[in-house]
Amino acid sequence: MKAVLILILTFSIGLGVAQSIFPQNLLEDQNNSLVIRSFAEGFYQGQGLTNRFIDKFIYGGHISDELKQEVESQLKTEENRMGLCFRTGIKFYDLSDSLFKGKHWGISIGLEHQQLITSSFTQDLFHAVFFGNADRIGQDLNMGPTRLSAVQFQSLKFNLVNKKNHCEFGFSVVKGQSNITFNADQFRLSTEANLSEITLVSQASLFQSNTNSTGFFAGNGIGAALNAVYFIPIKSLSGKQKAKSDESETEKVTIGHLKFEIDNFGFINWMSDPSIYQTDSTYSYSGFEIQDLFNQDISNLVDTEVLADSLLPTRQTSPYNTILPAVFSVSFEPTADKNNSISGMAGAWYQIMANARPVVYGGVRYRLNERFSGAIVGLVGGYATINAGLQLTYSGSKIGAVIATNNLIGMVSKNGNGRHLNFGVICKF
Amino acid sequence: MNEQRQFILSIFERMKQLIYFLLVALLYFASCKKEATTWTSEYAAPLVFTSLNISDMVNDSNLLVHPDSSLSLHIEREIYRLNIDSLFTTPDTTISEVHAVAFPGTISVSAGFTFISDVEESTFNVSGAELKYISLNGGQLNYEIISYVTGPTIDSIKIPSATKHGSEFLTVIHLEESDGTIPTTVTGSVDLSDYEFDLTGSDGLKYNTLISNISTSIDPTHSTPVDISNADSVRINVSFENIDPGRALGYFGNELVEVPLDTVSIPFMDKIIGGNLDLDDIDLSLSITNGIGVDIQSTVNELNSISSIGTVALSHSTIGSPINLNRPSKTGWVVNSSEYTTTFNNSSSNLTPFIENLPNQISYDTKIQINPFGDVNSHGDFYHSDYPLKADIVLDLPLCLGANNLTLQDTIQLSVDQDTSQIKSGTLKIHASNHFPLGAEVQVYLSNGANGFADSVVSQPIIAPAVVNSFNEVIAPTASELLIELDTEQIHQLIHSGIALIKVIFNTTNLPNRIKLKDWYHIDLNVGATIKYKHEVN
Repeated sequence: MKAVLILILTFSIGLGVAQSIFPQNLLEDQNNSLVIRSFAEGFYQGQGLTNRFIDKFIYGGHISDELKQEVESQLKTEENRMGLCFRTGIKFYDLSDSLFKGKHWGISIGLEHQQLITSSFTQDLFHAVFFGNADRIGQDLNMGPTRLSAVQFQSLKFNLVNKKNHCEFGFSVVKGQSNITFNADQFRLSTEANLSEITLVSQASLFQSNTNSTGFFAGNGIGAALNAVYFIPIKSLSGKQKAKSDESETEKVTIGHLKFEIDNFGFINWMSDPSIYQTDSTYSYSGFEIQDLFNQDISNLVDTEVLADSLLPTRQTSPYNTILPAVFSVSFEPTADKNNSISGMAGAWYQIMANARPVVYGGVRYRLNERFSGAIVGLVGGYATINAGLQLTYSGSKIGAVIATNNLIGMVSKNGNGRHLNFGVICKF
Repeated sequence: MNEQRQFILSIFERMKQLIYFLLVALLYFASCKKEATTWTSEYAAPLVFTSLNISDMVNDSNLLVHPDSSLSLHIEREIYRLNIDSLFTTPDTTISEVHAVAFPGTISVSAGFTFISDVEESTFNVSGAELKYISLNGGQLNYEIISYVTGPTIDSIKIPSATKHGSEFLTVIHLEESDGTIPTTVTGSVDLSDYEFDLTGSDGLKYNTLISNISTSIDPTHSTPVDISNADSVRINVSFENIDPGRALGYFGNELVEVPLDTVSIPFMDKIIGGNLDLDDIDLSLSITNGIGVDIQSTVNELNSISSIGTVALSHSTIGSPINLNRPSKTGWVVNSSEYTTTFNNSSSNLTPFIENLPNQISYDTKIQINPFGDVNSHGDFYHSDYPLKADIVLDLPLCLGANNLTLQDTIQLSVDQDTSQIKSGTLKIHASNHFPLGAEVQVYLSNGANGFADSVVSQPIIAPAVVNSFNEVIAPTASELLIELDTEQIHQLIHSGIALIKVIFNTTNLPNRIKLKDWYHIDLNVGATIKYKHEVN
């Protein structure tokens, strides 16, 4: 019973830290009925976007032409991915077997805040923003397909924990704070060779929640989500046990668990003064035509109202729904073995609506002693190609903590692509 | 239990430390954004486009297209019009009359009784003219009535010799009672448009004479009689203002109108600061039209072409010689104006040097004698505002020319309201497709404050002429690109001063041959800009 409890609580740290691959084996040898855990995670990462570039963009400074060229040279023609996330939460577990007459059931209540900004963009979009179109006269700038999604929401999670079946499941009530969803299948800017005309072909949509109220307490949307965690123990005969097989007693031991997890699979209905813009148009501008050389009013060469009418589609205000950036994950975590200080680990996750690729990882964990352990892994996917990760864990009798990163190179080098940091604290009563 | 409490307290203590750490970390990261994020991008976009032919450069009505598609410039300008004040000056003096009862002592007058009724003839001095009749297009009669009558009165001004659509001029004014010491005063005006005045007086033999009738009555609604004495006077002041005669009859005198040496500016021509313009045959006509019913003798003493190059006086047989203009005839008020025309050309005058001097001013000195032989028509002079005395010139200039470094210079004023501090440099690219057999070198100079203008900012200044055949006819256009490049300092300089100097030097193909400009010649211009812009995100 305790083992299951420990397992669930240990792995449920990962529930709130979806981008972190590191479970926290903090609750071994626990005998507590109330557990509180909290976490904070932040990262930003972009394919080809070096830390030198991102640091300038976020913390200020001049982005030189050399730095822009360095970044552009690392971008692909299309589907360059970028993500920025901040996520924090706290969760309370009551595992005192008081629910349903004490038969293996517990409950958890969690509160979580998440901000996620992601994008998939083309190399030409980067060029248009950071270089302009002056060196592309007579050429096209294909700024699409481009996607941008920015969402902030808070969720209140109610889960049931079934210790016997090694699972936790429940639902969340979600408050939508803000959202922008921009999709441009086509977004092409053509500049004629003699500068006689520029043409913008756009096939795009923009969904935007209420822009007048975007603070933490803004209630611009409401939704719901499902959450579930399920552990399958993986058992095997030990060497000692195998030796006894001829005595017709087959004794198997749990060597690890497969964990299946769904986090925040749901939606938000943005109903408070939303805006929807959709366009499928071609706009050409040839400049201002001088028709009468001697009686020409050139005070308004570019009529911004006409330009806006031509470029900006009409605003619609009907409510719309967005799918939450749910995380689907599967992982294998070996059971801690006092006799073996090194163990393997592997897993994969995919976050939908996040402009990211699936992540696959594998690594090793090293137990320094009963309280301290560390792990190092390699990751493929997400917003980068290959990354290395590191985790350091402290497991005390009443308190545990973890600090981890999925982007070790980014944390120590300006040549890295992005940064990632994850803190977790767990308290046991 | 106590242990558990201690533990919980220690947990909260650690959580406090953690929150403190997170807050410090947050402040650290927030304070890391010490400066704005900046980068520079360069954007390109079209600005303006146009296609210009000759008719876009001159007034359409001035351009004549000949069967061979060649063009002539036909310019008609009125250079002089005789002001009616030169013939006679309408009266603007104030007529002041005092009216009172004719008998001594005091009488009691009941309501409605008219105690003053005076008919008068007033003769005006109209600067040497003797008018029998005048009608007005506009003007007004101003009056001021000052009354010492101790009861309310109704005063009327009637002019039987002034009619409008058959009705006599009549205006009625109400005055409040005076205390006998401080008078009651009323002022007003009456529009005189369309009034006709018979100025021949009561016997029909006088000139410049008006008949008027002034009367004063006690207000019929006044309830009590009013005591009137010969001290209870009523003063009426009348004046005329802004008189605009429409028609007039009489004798207009024999004034000598001398127009001293005067100049007429030709605005566009002062932009030409150098070079030569070789023109083909030019015709200039001077036409004098007389619609005023008087005999006129006019003399043009001199006519000069003035430019920065020098002054060229027009020499022609009519210059300095008197020109007699016959009196026009009229039927009713329809006037058959008389005309006098003289033509200047290369054979009869020095017109070509006169024009090729590229004058920015024309000066002239003339005199006009009205009725040089006196009142030979027995007060039969007439005037109708629709038929003036005026002088026109007509210039026929075939657009067959040779331009040799013909240099035009002008300044342009700029007013930029937008914040341009983030623009780091800019380039104007002017693509020209030239169908004119005329090339140009364009230079743009920026103001350099007190030092005048700095070096030109045009790095590619040449617009090449179109390709011509052996007859100097255009057979193909030529493409050129002008580049005007401005750095940060020059942009700020341009915006700060708000002024730039443009100089264009024209040369025709195959000089010294003249080329004929055709109606289909044109130039297509596309102006685009590239701007280096510094983005700043805080």
